[in-house]
Amino acid sequence: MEKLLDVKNLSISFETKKGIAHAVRNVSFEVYEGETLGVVGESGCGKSITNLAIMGLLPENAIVKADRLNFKGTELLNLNEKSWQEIRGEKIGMIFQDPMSSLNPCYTVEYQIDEVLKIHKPELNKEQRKEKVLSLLKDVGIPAPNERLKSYPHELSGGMSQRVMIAMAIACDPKLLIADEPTTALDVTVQGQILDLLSKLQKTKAMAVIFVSHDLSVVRDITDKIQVMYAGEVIESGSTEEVINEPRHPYTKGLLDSIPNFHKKNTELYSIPGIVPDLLNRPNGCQFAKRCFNRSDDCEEALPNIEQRDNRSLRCLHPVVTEGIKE
Amino acid sequence: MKRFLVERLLQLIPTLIGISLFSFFIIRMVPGDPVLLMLGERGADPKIYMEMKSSLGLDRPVFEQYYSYMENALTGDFGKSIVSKRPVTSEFFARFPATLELGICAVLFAIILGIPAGVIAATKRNTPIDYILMGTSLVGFSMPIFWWGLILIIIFSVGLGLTPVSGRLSVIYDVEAMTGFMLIDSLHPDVLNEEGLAPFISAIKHLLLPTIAMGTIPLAVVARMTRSSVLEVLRAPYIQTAKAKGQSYFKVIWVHAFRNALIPIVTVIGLLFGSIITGAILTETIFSWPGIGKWLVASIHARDYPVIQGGVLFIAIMIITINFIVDVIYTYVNPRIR
Repeated sequence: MEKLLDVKNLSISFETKKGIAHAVRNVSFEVYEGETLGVVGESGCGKSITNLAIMGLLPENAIVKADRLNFKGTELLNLNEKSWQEIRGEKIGMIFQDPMSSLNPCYTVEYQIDEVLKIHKPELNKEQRKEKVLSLLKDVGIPAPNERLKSYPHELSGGMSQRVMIAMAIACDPKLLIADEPTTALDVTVQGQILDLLSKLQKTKAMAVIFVSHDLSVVRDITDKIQVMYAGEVIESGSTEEVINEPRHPYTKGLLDSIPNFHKKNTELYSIPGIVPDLLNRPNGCQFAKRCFNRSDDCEEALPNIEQRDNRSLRCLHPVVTEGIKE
Repeated sequence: MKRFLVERLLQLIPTLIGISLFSFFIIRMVPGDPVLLMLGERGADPKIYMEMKSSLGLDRPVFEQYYSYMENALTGDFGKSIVSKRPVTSEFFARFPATLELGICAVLFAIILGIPAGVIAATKRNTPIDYILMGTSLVGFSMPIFWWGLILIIIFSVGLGLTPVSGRLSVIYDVEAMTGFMLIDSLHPDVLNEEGLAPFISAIKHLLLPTIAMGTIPLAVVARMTRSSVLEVLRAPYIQTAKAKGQSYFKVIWVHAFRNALIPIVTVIGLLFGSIITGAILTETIFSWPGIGKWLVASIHARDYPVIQGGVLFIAIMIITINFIVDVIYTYVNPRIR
């Protein structure tokens, strides 16, 4: 399979009044065609920022550095605004966390989906575009799409809105879809439907998907591989199965242990103690050391290197030894 | 929509009764006597004074006066001016177009310059352009109309000799009042045949300074409101969605952000029409503009009760109507309340 996205040593920092905040440090990953990558980590760990960098949507005070930020042979670093506009929406689609406020309240569903086609498919005429909008609405499972065309966002439920967002994002058959916590704001029942829809579309359209979530249990079902981020660094990655069944980094293990177990009543819920480090004033060594149950003195001396073995990578001096915890 | 219209019309009734009561009694509470003012305070013969008072109906109890005023008003008769002896209604409608023309020009001036200024300031936030635009608008907002009007006259009329000082049209032209709007009347085929475009240009020149004097404060309000409204909208997630679609920066601002930012701006523009009347009183006095502002001030000096009562009521109806139109526009701008 062909390499779609190639990110090597991506660092993103922000100039703030208090100094420079290093939000993302030396993040490297690859996404192949048709593959689903899960990006996991708690709030503020740099998941969304990384993805905004891939879309070129970071705020103006962001400083982006990378050895490579390559999408299908195009170097994205220092791309001009015009070229970005050709990539956004056509080659890379994106959906966001809160579908209700991600749709423009002043325009109809039809207008907003049609807009993407107008920008990127100028060869289509009005009727062809309308036909395409209808078939997109059908693809994302909106009942009675003809009646929904003239609906405004406030007339739609959260799940419906997210379906419309997805229709917009896949309108030009992008090679890559970035889904930034697409189910976080939705009810659990609707969440399942949206996940099913995304994995169905991913297969039929042969898209690669970057699926960002703070919830490992959501990511588990639909991704091929996972990378776990902590304080702007990738600390562990590998195939979904391996990472979930044999977590090596204490943080990954902590995340897995934090998932409440529905079947075990009356047990205390697990949580990782402490808080994420201050991005303006990072510790020298391992960023997770202060919260880690497995730390020793050498952890806080220097930042551990990323160790690559087979398809897994790990940034830890004292990994957890697991003997294949299976459910 | 129909229900909305009917509701608004029903709300009109108590409002108008309230305003009629208010204008009727307030002016009678102000010291001063229209009959005395007409006869001159010295040497008024008590007999003539009483005769005149009863002929105007001012000797009757106040409540009786109000009752007959309302009775006549319901048939469309608002009485006659004590000073000019002409019906209040025709006096009003002879002057109203002049004020409306000036008011519309002033508000358009405010909108056409204020909205782009606000949007530019918002998109160039915290840059010198933003500081210059917002600083200027603060100065404009703080400018007293009477002073600003005089400064404009000194610069453009006295200094540069570009614009006339007073009135609506140069005296050498004779334009018949068809609609009362000079810009429209001067384009009437008869006028065009005889004088060409010259009267129209003269009308524009006469409008220029009063428009600027009256429109400066609304301009500042619109610019500041637009800036803060656009800034707020630019933070919304749907702006990021629009960018993620590959939409150009220009369209993200003008199609996605501006359309949403317009909702509070429309409300403010509606309210501005109300404040235009206050502006009209000052502006019309400075530029000798023959509108209702100047007329009302003169009537208050003369304690011309019927004119004040009728004039205030007409202005109230006008403002209510404009606000109603704004409400209707609002439902088109904001699909959530349709």
